[in-house]
Amino acid sequence: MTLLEVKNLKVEFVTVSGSVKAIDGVSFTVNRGEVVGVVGESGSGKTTLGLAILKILPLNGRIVSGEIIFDGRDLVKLSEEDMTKVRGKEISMIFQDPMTSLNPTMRIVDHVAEALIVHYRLSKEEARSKAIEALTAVGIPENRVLDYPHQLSGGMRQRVMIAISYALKPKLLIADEPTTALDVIVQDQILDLLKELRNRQKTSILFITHDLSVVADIADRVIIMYAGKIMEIGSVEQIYYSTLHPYTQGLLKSIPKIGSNSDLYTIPGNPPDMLNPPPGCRFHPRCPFAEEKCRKENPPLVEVSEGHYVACWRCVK
Amino acid sequence: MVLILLTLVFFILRILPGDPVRVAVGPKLPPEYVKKICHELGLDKPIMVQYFDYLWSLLHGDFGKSLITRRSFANELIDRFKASVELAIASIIVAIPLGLFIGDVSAKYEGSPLAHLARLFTVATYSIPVFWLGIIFQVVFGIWLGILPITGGPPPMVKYSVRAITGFTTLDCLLNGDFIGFAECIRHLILPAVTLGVVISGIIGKVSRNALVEVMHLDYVTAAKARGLPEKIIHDKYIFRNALIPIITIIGLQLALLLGGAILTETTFDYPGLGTYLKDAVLSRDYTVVQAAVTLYAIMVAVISFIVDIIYAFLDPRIRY
Ligand SMILES: Nc1ncnc2c1ncn2[C@@H]1O[C@H](COP(=O)(O)OP(=O)(O)O)[C@@H](O)[C@H]1O
Ligand SMILES: [Mg+2]
Repeated sequence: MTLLEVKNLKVEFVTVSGSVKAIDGVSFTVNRGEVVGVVGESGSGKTTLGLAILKILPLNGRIVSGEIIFDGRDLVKLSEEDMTKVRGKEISMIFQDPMTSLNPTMRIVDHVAEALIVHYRLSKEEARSKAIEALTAVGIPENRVLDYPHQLSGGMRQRVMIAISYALKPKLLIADEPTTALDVIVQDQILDLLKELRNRQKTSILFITHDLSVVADIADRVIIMYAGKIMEIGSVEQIYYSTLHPYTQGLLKSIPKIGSNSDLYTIPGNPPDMLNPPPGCRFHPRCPFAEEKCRKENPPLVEVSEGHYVACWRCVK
Repeated sequence: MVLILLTLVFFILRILPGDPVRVAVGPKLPPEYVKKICHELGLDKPIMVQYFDYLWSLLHGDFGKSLITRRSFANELIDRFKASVELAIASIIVAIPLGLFIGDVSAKYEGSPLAHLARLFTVATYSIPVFWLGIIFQVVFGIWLGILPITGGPPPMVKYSVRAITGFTTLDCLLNGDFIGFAECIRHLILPAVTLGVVISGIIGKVSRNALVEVMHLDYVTAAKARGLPEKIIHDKYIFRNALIPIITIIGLQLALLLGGAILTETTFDYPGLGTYLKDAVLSRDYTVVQAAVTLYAIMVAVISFIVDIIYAFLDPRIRY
């Protein structure tokens, strides 16, 4: 059962030095109750993808073409007024830096209550008590709900962000590197919390991260992105054990392994300058298998086995 | 702080060329007589002694005597100060809504013609001399249209006929139920207040635009949008509320400047405030009056920054004293 279907999405930023095609023809689906990981190095367009789905791109960004079919409607065509009803209530998003995601002049309970009042037209008292319920459900002690954001740690603040989602019961949660800014122990707690949210409310999650190892823990399927394009899509097993794309192989090799004391592997080279991306396959300048064709023609994303897609000339016979 | 300022003013005044007694009595008086006056005013003592005498009497709330009129001038000073306060409040009443409006428009519609117009207004208020603007207003409204008086300040007729309760003539008229007098006072306030208000609104507009734009791009605003909050809530509770601190700061600063007397504007409109008083005192090297006016000014700045600090703590839960 498909909840979200993104078709050939293109997003572009206008800058003084030219236009940046941050998302260049991306297609994928998210099923109901499914957790889909989006993995790629920084700058590959992951955050832009999340913002584009909610249509809250910065002023210089716009959706050039494509469709975002959510629950039967194309969000790209939806009016701004209808979008505000989708945002938060049907699709919510949590962000990378919990330290800056909350309004410093507002108590945390009011962040949750306010969203409930707006989306569910609850009275102030009802909203407050529901908000306190949600906050305690994500592990915020009741005596802290009147705190201001600066009184909480990063992990606690991320819990508040999750509590807002928890209270609004969206069908899809976009989690943009929700654990990147946190230390390891807190990371695990937040991951557990997200899994619980998925299990309890059957929320689908688009889990964005640059860390392939985190994804194995939470995701059902994984999308590998590079420079605004999808390189590979597959189940966690397919991505880990039947890896096809050289970029995915590079990412896997750069995961630190317990017990190994060899130097950490990094993919040679740097992500491309998005103002002048390389022709052909975007990964070819860093690819150990690059051939003449890779430099000229962009490989299409093809299904090589059931549910396993890859964009690489080596896999197209 | 206040002490440093007082000390600086004390010595700078004495370094400046020009002798107050000469100004007061004219050049033709016999030297013995000049000496006598100097002695009377303590000006023949060594400068350090004068300095400590000055601080000592200040501690006792004594501003001393004017070197020119050789009379106590405390009443006159307070009177002038009150007139300046009236003008300051009237100007800020014009400046705050206008400035916030300008700032809001240029932040919200960044890049649009409307925003450019707002920026143009800001630049204009920066570059147009305030007396020039004042004169334009005088010519247009006072002379061509003839609807407003070109001089400012409560008319003496009203000032001396109304029973003084607070000493603020405009307010006294209202308290006494003298609505005609009140209307007269307001009529005389409009041109100087609008002149000053327009100039200050430019500064407030610029500062609030920058503050709003900065907050607009912060993560919690994006997060609020992602939550589907209506634009009004995002603007009021997320953007404006958090941009208020720099805005309040600049308003406080401008108000302090205004209370010290807006010299150019007061001069243009011949307004009987602290600014014109200070100007006259400086021109005649009336040390004690200048010192007193500056002291008053320093106290005002201190009081206002104290109030602004209290507002900060109220606005921003991260600030506690
Ligand atoms: N507001 C913007 N203006 C111009 N370029 C942008 C803007 N936001 C993002 N980009 C560019 O778009 C690309 C993708 O960015 P982003 O989506 O933040 O990547 P990621 O989240 O994967 O690190 C990058 O090259 C980035 O420089
Ligand atoms: Mg990102």
